[in-house]
Amino acid sequence: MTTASSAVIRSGLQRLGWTVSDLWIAAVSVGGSFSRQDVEDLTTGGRAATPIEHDILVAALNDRFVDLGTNHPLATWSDLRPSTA
Amino acid sequence: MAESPLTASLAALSRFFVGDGNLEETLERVTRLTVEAVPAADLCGITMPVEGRQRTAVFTDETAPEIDQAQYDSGGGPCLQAFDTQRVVEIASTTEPGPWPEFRRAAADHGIHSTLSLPLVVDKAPVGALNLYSSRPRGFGGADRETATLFASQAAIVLANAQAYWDARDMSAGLSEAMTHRAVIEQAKGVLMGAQGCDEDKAFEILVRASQRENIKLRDVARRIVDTAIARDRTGPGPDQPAGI
Repeated sequence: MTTASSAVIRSGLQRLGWTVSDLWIAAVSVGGSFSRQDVEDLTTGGRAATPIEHDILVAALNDRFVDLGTNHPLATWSDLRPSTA
Repeated sequence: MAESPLTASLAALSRFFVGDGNLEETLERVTRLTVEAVPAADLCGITMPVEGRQRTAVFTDETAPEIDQAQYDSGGGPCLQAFDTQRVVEIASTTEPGPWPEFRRAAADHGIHSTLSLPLVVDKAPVGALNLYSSRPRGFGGADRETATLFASQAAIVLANAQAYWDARDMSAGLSEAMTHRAVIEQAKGVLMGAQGCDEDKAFEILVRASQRENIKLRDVARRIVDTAIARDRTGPGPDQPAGI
Protein backbone atom coordinates (compact mmCIF):
# COMPACT_ATOMS: atom_id res chain seq x y z
CA MET A 1 0.00 0.00 0.00
CA THR A 2 3.01 2.22 -0.45
CA THR A 3 1.50 4.16 -3.31
CA ALA A 4 -1.77 4.62 -1.46
CA SER A 5 0.07 5.73 1.67
CA SER A 6 2.15 8.38 -0.03
CA ALA A 7 -0.87 9.54 -2.04
CA VAL A 8 -2.86 10.06 1.17
CA ILE A 9 0.00 11.97 2.75
CA ARG A 10 0.57 14.12 -0.34
CA SER A 11 -3.14 14.85 -0.50
CA GLY A 12 -3.09 16.05 3.11
CA LEU A 13 -0.07 18.25 2.46
CA GLN A 14 -1.70 19.83 -0.56
CA ARG A 15 -5.00 20.44 1.19
CA LEU A 16 -3.29 22.09 4.13
CA GLY A 17 -0.75 23.97 2.03
CA TRP A 18 1.99 22.43 4.16
CA THR A 19 5.60 21.86 3.26
CA VAL A 20 7.50 18.69 4.09
CA SER A 21 9.17 20.62 6.91
CA ASP A 22 5.76 21.55 8.34
CA LEU A 23 4.77 17.89 8.34
CA TRP A 24 8.08 16.84 9.84
CA ILE A 25 7.62 19.16 12.82
CA ALA A 26 3.99 18.10 13.25
CA ALA A 27 5.00 14.43 13.10
CA VAL A 28 7.62 14.97 15.79
CA SER A 29 4.95 16.57 17.96
CA VAL A 30 2.77 13.44 17.84
CA GLY A 31 5.63 11.09 18.63
CA GLY A 32 7.39 10.48 15.31
CA SER A 33 11.12 9.92 15.27
CA PHE A 34 11.67 10.76 11.64
CA SER A 35 14.37 12.83 10.01
CA ARG A 36 13.12 15.46 7.62
CA GLN A 37 14.49 13.33 4.78
CA ASP A 38 12.44 10.36 6.03
CA VAL A 39 9.29 12.46 5.79
CA GLU A 40 10.21 13.59 2.30
CA ASP A 41 10.86 10.01 1.19
CA LEU A 42 7.59 8.77 2.67
CA THR A 43 5.70 11.64 1.06
CA THR A 44 7.13 11.15 -2.40
CA GLY A 45 6.92 7.36 -2.20
CA GLY A 46 10.69 7.07 -2.33
CA ARG A 47 10.48 4.71 0.62
CA ALA A 48 7.65 2.44 1.73
CA ALA A 49 5.94 3.53 4.94
CA THR A 50 5.44 1.02 7.69
CA PRO A 51 1.94 1.00 9.21
CA ILE A 52 3.04 3.00 12.25
CA GLU A 53 4.96 5.52 10.12
CA HIS A 54 1.89 6.07 7.98
CA ASP A 55 -0.35 6.45 11.02
CA ILE A 56 1.96 8.96 12.68
CA LEU A 57 2.12 11.15 9.58
CA VAL A 58 -1.63 10.93 9.07
CA ALA A 59 -2.26 11.71 12.75
CA ALA A 60 -0.09 14.81 12.42
CA LEU A 61 -2.07 15.95 9.37
CA ASN A 62 -5.47 15.03 10.81
CA ASP A 63 -4.71 17.01 13.99
CA ARG A 64 -4.43 20.12 11.85
CA PHE A 65 -7.68 19.26 10.08
CA VAL A 66 -9.34 19.13 13.52
CA ASP A 67 -8.22 22.75 14.02
CA LEU A 68 -9.90 23.59 10.72
CA GLY A 69 -13.15 21.87 11.67
CA THR A 70 -12.72 18.81 9.46
CA ASN A 71 -13.01 15.44 11.16
CA HIS A 72 -9.97 13.28 10.38
CA PRO A 73 -10.32 13.12 6.58
CA LEU A 74 -7.14 11.13 5.95
CA ALA A 75 -7.17 7.35 6.16
CA THR A 76 -5.08 5.50 8.70
CA TRP A 77 -3.20 2.39 7.58
CA SER A 78 -5.96 -0.02 8.53
CA ASP A 79 -8.47 2.05 6.56
CA LEU A 80 -6.38 2.15 3.37
CA ARG A 81 -7.82 0.07 0.62
CA PRO A 82 -5.35 -2.29 -1.04
CA SER A 83 -7.18 -1.73 -4.32
CA THR A 84 -6.06 1.90 -4.33
CA ALA A 85 -2.40 0.89 -4.17
CA MET B 1 37.42 60.60 -1.04
CA ALA B 2 33.65 60.46 -0.52
CA GLU B 3 31.91 57.17 -1.37
CA SER B 4 29.41 57.14 -4.23
CA PRO B 5 25.81 56.32 -3.25
CA LEU B 6 26.19 52.89 -4.83
CA THR B 7 29.44 52.12 -3.05
CA ALA B 8 28.02 53.27 0.27
CA SER B 9 24.83 51.23 -0.19
CA LEU B 10 26.71 48.12 -1.31
CA ALA B 11 29.02 48.45 1.67
CA ALA B 12 26.01 48.76 3.98
CA LEU B 13 24.46 45.72 2.32
CA SER B 14 27.63 43.67 2.77
CA ARG B 15 27.62 44.49 6.49
CA PHE B 16 24.14 43.09 6.93
CA PHE B 17 23.81 40.46 9.59
CA VAL B 18 20.47 38.95 8.80
CA GLY B 19 19.83 38.09 12.44
CA ASP B 20 19.85 41.76 13.40
CA GLY B 21 16.26 42.19 12.34
CA ASN B 22 13.42 39.97 11.24
CA LEU B 23 12.87 39.23 7.58
CA GLU B 24 10.57 42.19 7.05
CA GLU B 25 13.02 44.58 8.67
CA THR B 26 15.84 43.22 6.51
CA LEU B 27 13.74 43.70 3.39
CA GLU B 28 12.89 47.24 4.41
CA ARG B 29 16.56 48.04 4.85
CA VAL B 30 17.20 46.68 1.36
CA THR B 31 14.56 48.96 -0.15
CA ARG B 32 15.92 52.01 1.66
CA LEU B 33 19.47 51.24 0.50
CA THR B 34 18.18 50.77 -3.04
CA VAL B 35 16.71 54.26 -3.13
CA GLU B 36 20.00 55.63 -1.82
CA ALA B 37 21.97 53.67 -4.43
CA VAL B 38 19.78 54.73 -7.35
CA PRO B 39 19.09 58.46 -7.01
CA ALA B 40 16.59 58.42 -9.89
CA ALA B 41 14.29 56.25 -7.79
CA ASP B 42 11.75 58.08 -5.66
CA LEU B 43 10.12 54.93 -4.30
CA CYS B 44 11.06 51.29 -3.98
CA GLY B 45 9.15 48.11 -3.19
CA ILE B 46 9.75 44.38 -3.31
CA THR B 47 7.29 42.01 -4.91
CA MET B 48 7.49 38.51 -3.52
CA PRO B 49 5.27 35.52 -2.78
CA VAL B 50 3.51 35.82 0.56
CA GLU B 51 1.23 32.95 1.57
CA GLY B 52 1.10 31.78 -2.01
CA ARG B 53 0.23 35.12 -3.61
CA GLN B 54 2.40 37.83 -5.07
CA ARG B 55 2.28 41.07 -3.16
CA THR B 56 4.41 44.10 -2.37
CA ALA B 57 5.77 42.81 0.88
CA VAL B 58 7.87 45.85 1.80
CA PHE B 59 8.17 49.39 0.47
CA THR B 60 9.65 52.75 1.22
CA ASP B 61 6.35 54.55 0.80
CA GLU B 62 2.69 53.53 0.92
CA THR B 63 2.35 54.69 -2.67
CA ALA B 64 4.28 51.67 -3.97
CA PRO B 65 1.80 48.99 -2.83
CA GLU B 66 -1.12 51.18 -3.91
CA ILE B 67 0.29 51.29 -7.45
CA ASP B 68 1.27 47.62 -7.44
CA GLN B 69 -2.21 46.55 -6.45
CA ALA B 70 -3.32 47.35 -10.00
CA GLN B 71 -1.05 44.64 -11.36
CA TYR B 72 -2.07 42.09 -8.74
CA ASP B 73 -5.74 42.79 -9.48
CA SER B 74 -5.31 42.64 -13.25
CA GLY B 75 -2.84 39.74 -13.17
CA GLY B 76 -0.08 41.53 -15.06
CA GLY B 77 2.50 44.25 -14.65
CA PRO B 78 6.21 44.95 -14.77
CA CYS B 79 7.00 43.59 -11.30
CA LEU B 80 5.24 40.31 -11.98
CA GLN B 81 6.86 40.13 -15.40
CA ALA B 82 10.33 40.70 -13.90
CA PHE B 83 9.68 37.97 -11.34
CA ASP B 84 8.31 35.48 -13.87
CA THR B 85 10.84 36.04 -16.66
CA GLN B 86 13.85 36.89 -14.48
CA ARG B 87 14.50 39.87 -16.75
CA VAL B 88 14.67 43.60 -16.15
CA VAL B 89 11.41 45.30 -17.17
CA GLU B 90 11.17 49.03 -17.70
CA ILE B 91 8.29 51.37 -18.41
CA ALA B 92 9.83 54.53 -19.81
CA SER B 93 6.62 56.54 -19.57
CA THR B 94 3.46 55.44 -17.80
CA THR B 95 1.40 58.01 -19.70
CA GLU B 96 2.23 56.47 -23.08
CA PRO B 97 0.29 53.48 -24.41
CA GLY B 98 1.77 50.05 -23.81
CA PRO B 99 1.38 46.79 -21.92
CA TRP B 100 -0.42 46.71 -18.56
CA PRO B 101 -2.68 49.77 -19.00
CA GLU B 102 -4.20 49.30 -15.51
CA PHE B 103 -0.79 49.49 -13.89
CA ARG B 104 0.26 52.46 -16.05
CA ARG B 105 -2.89 54.32 -15.12
CA ALA B 106 -2.45 53.63 -11.40
CA ALA B 107 1.18 54.74 -11.52
CA ALA B 108 0.40 57.93 -13.42
CA ASP B 109 -2.47 58.70 -11.04
CA HIS B 110 0.04 58.54 -8.17
CA GLY B 111 2.53 60.80 -9.95
CA ILE B 112 4.84 58.00 -11.04
CA HIS B 113 5.94 58.36 -14.66
CA SER B 114 8.57 55.65 -15.12
CA THR B 115 9.35 52.32 -13.46
CA LEU B 116 12.20 49.84 -13.38
CA SER B 117 11.64 46.28 -12.11
CA LEU B 118 14.55 43.96 -11.47
CA PRO B 119 14.38 40.25 -10.71
CA LEU B 120 15.93 39.05 -7.48
CA VAL B 121 17.44 35.70 -8.44
CA VAL B 122 19.36 33.18 -6.39
CA ASP B 123 20.58 29.88 -7.87
CA LYS B 124 18.58 30.61 -11.02
CA ALA B 125 15.36 30.80 -9.01
CA PRO B 126 13.38 34.02 -8.52
CA VAL B 127 12.95 35.11 -4.89
CA GLY B 128 11.32 38.45 -5.63
CA ALA B 129 11.40 41.57 -7.77
CA LEU B 130 12.87 44.92 -6.80
CA ASN B 131 10.71 47.73 -8.13
CA LEU B 132 11.88 51.30 -8.56
CA TYR B 133 9.55 54.19 -9.31
CA SER B 134 10.43 57.65 -10.61
CA SER B 135 8.28 60.74 -10.79
CA ARG B 136 10.03 61.69 -14.04
CA PRO B 137 9.30 60.20 -17.46
CA ARG B 138 12.34 58.23 -18.67
CA GLY B 139 13.72 58.69 -15.21
CA PHE B 140 16.10 55.75 -15.39
CA GLY B 141 19.15 56.12 -17.59
CA GLY B 142 21.72 53.51 -18.56
CA ALA B 143 23.81 54.16 -15.47
CA ASP B 144 20.74 53.78 -13.23
CA ARG B 145 19.92 50.45 -14.84
CA GLU B 146 23.47 49.20 -14.37
CA THR B 147 23.54 50.36 -10.77
CA ALA B 148 20.15 48.89 -9.99
CA THR B 149 21.06 45.57 -11.63
CA LEU B 150 24.26 45.34 -9.62
CA PHE B 151 22.45 46.25 -6.44
CA ALA B 152 19.65 43.77 -7.10
CA SER B 153 22.13 40.90 -7.52
CA GLN B 154 23.59 41.65 -4.10
CA ALA B 155 20.21 42.29 -2.51
CA ALA B 156 18.97 38.90 -3.75
CA ILE B 157 21.73 37.16 -1.80
CA VAL B 158 20.85 39.11 1.34
CA LEU B 159 17.21 38.17 0.93
CA ALA B 160 18.01 34.51 0.38
CA ASN B 161 20.26 34.46 3.44
CA ALA B 162 17.66 36.25 5.52
CA GLN B 163 14.97 33.84 4.37
CA ALA B 164 17.17 30.84 5.19
CA TYR B 165 18.05 32.28 8.58
CA TRP B 166 14.45 32.94 9.56
CA ASP B 167 13.25 29.64 8.15
CA ALA B 168 15.80 27.93 10.39
CA ARG B 169 14.70 30.04 13.36
CA ASP B 170 11.05 29.21 12.71
CA MET B 171 11.87 25.53 12.36
CA SER B 172 13.79 25.54 15.61
CA ALA B 173 10.90 27.23 17.41
CA GLY B 174 8.47 24.76 15.84
CA LEU B 175 10.53 21.78 16.96
CA SER B 176 10.80 23.16 20.47
CA GLU B 177 7.01 23.45 20.66
CA ALA B 178 6.63 20.01 19.07
CA MET B 179 8.75 18.45 21.81
CA THR B 180 6.40 19.90 24.43
CA HIS B 181 3.33 18.34 22.79
CA ARG B 182 5.17 15.10 22.19
CA ALA B 183 5.91 14.62 25.87
CA VAL B 184 2.28 14.20 26.89
CA ILE B 185 1.67 11.76 24.02
CA GLU B 186 4.63 9.64 25.12
CA GLN B 187 3.32 9.72 28.70
CA ALA B 188 -0.15 8.63 27.56
CA LYS B 189 1.33 5.77 25.54
CA GLY B 190 3.14 4.64 28.67
CA VAL B 191 -0.08 4.71 30.67
CA LEU B 192 -1.87 2.64 28.02
CA MET B 193 0.97 0.14 27.68
CA GLY B 194 0.88 -0.40 31.44
CA ALA B 195 -2.90 -0.57 31.65
CA GLN B 196 -3.49 -2.77 28.61
CA GLY B 197 -0.27 -4.72 28.36
CA CYS B 198 0.19 -3.61 24.75
CA ASP B 199 3.21 -2.42 22.82
CA GLU B 200 3.96 1.17 21.86
CA ASP B 201 2.49 0.95 18.37
CA LYS B 202 -0.78 -0.46 19.70
CA ALA B 203 -0.93 2.29 22.33
CA PHE B 204 -0.55 4.87 19.57
CA GLU B 205 -3.32 3.22 17.59
CA ILE B 206 -5.62 3.43 20.63
CA LEU B 207 -4.89 7.14 20.89
CA VAL B 208 -5.59 7.64 17.19
CA ARG B 209 -8.90 5.79 17.38
CA ALA B 210 -10.04 7.87 20.35
CA SER B 211 -8.98 11.04 18.54
CA GLN B 212 -10.99 10.03 15.46
CA ARG B 213 -14.00 8.93 17.45
CA GLU B 214 -14.26 12.17 19.40
CA ASN B 215 -12.86 14.47 16.71
CA ILE B 216 -10.30 15.99 19.03
CA LYS B 217 -6.58 16.36 18.70
CA LEU B 218 -4.29 13.52 19.66
CA ARG B 219 -2.56 15.51 22.35
CA ASP B 220 -5.91 16.39 23.94
CA VAL B 221 -6.76 12.70 24.19
CA ALA B 222 -3.30 12.09 25.62
CA ARG B 223 -3.65 14.90 28.14
CA ARG B 224 -6.93 13.47 29.40
CA ILE B 225 -5.42 9.98 29.78
CA VAL B 226 -2.46 11.31 31.70
CA ASP B 227 -4.61 13.54 33.91
CA THR B 228 -6.96 10.64 34.62
CA ALA B 229 -4.05 8.37 35.48
CA ILE B 230 -2.62 10.97 37.84
CA ALA B 231 -6.00 11.45 39.51
CA ARG B 232 -6.41 7.68 39.92
CA ASP B 233 -2.95 7.39 41.34
CA ARG B 234 -3.89 9.92 44.00
CA THR B 235 -7.28 8.41 44.85
CA GLY B 236 -6.33 4.74 44.53
CA PRO B 237 -7.35 2.06 41.99
CA GLY B 238 -10.85 2.23 40.54
CA PRO B 239 -12.75 0.33 37.81
CA ASP B 240 -10.88 -1.57 35.11
CA GLN B 241 -11.68 0.95 32.37
CA PRO B 242 -8.41 2.19 30.88
CA ALA B 243 -7.59 5.67 32.05
CA GLY B 244 -9.34 8.42 30.10
CA ILE B 245 -10.27 6.34 27.04
